[in-house]
Amino acid sequence: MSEAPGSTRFDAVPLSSERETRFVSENMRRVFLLIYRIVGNVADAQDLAQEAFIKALQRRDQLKDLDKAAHWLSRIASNTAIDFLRRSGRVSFSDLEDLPEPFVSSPGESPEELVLRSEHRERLEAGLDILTVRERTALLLRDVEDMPAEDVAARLNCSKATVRSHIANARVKLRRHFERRKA
Amino acid sequence: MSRHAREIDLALYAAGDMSLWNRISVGLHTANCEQCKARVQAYRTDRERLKQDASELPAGLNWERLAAEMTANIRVGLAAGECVAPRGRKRVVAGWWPVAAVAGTVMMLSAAWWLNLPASDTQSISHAMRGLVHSRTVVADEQPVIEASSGGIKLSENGSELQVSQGGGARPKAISVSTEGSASARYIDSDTDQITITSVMNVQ
Repeated sequence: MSEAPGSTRFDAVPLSSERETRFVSENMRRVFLLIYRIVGNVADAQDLAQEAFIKALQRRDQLKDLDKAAHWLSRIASNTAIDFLRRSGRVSFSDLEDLPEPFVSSPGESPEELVLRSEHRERLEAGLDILTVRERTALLLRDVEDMPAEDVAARLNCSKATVRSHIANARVKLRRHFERRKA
Repeated sequence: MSRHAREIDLALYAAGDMSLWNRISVGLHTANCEQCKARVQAYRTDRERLKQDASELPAGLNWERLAAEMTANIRVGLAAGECVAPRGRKRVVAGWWPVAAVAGTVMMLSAAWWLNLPASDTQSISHAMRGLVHSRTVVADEQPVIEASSGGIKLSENGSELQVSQGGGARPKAISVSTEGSASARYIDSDTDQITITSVMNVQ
């Protein structure tokens, strides 16, 4: 990960080892996106992803096995996002077009690719927007993070049957949403 | 097939999120129902798309810049945490109570072990320990010594002596000492030619 010029004033405080730096750089995008899909806006996702990494790195003994640590980090990330939603009792999907920096157009993509990617993103975000918070979280943890239903139930603090119901409702709602858009 | 499977069952079946019995039931149905099979396939495709689309960054996001900013903020957060942490950590590590706790646990376990030993074992261990304590005294004890001389036979042990003296002008004719702790001497009186045999034995 390359550092932007604006961040150089923080370089005096390095991560304490190469392993930690690798751990952060390898998982940052995944963790950010997981949280972003749950909370629905970039600013909160950024704050919560940072919080998740700080929590993880404060327990350095867990970083011995980086694969396990990545899994463990996903747990911290989803818990942090769920706790945030519980605390705030809100979900907001901001209009990304309205946000100022650091949003810029992606370089090196053809206009066709840009349109296609934009369509996919818009379809996904609109689809996730019609779900309840619990349906969306259950669906993301199960289908994107490949977490077993039992673990999702534990994360959402509810029964496995309830989680199955959330997952099924979310999939059916998304399917209908895609069919409507196609029509 | 007159009835189709429920939509939520097909949605769950698509990713194996059903109990075994329901999975078999829906599996048997979809094997014979083209419409339901197509629905299951559509759910599987949605799942793949969701996974793929969810890995896309939000539109127009400058990831390089955001990642750098996040990394810097994480560094600051960790440094702030380090500033606060040491006091709490020292309190946990330092102090006499961990040593006292360990010593107490060891004593408790030793007492429990001792109490659970059979009586014969405890007696033999006690005896052995007493032996260890008094070992210097035992080593210092004198062994019984039997001496035969022209004056008589003497038994010495732990500073005490028992002496059988042969008085007069008797002279020892023969003195014998056995390795089993006895000594004897034969004396002949020069005046009367009487023979006196004196024996001392150490019986333990």
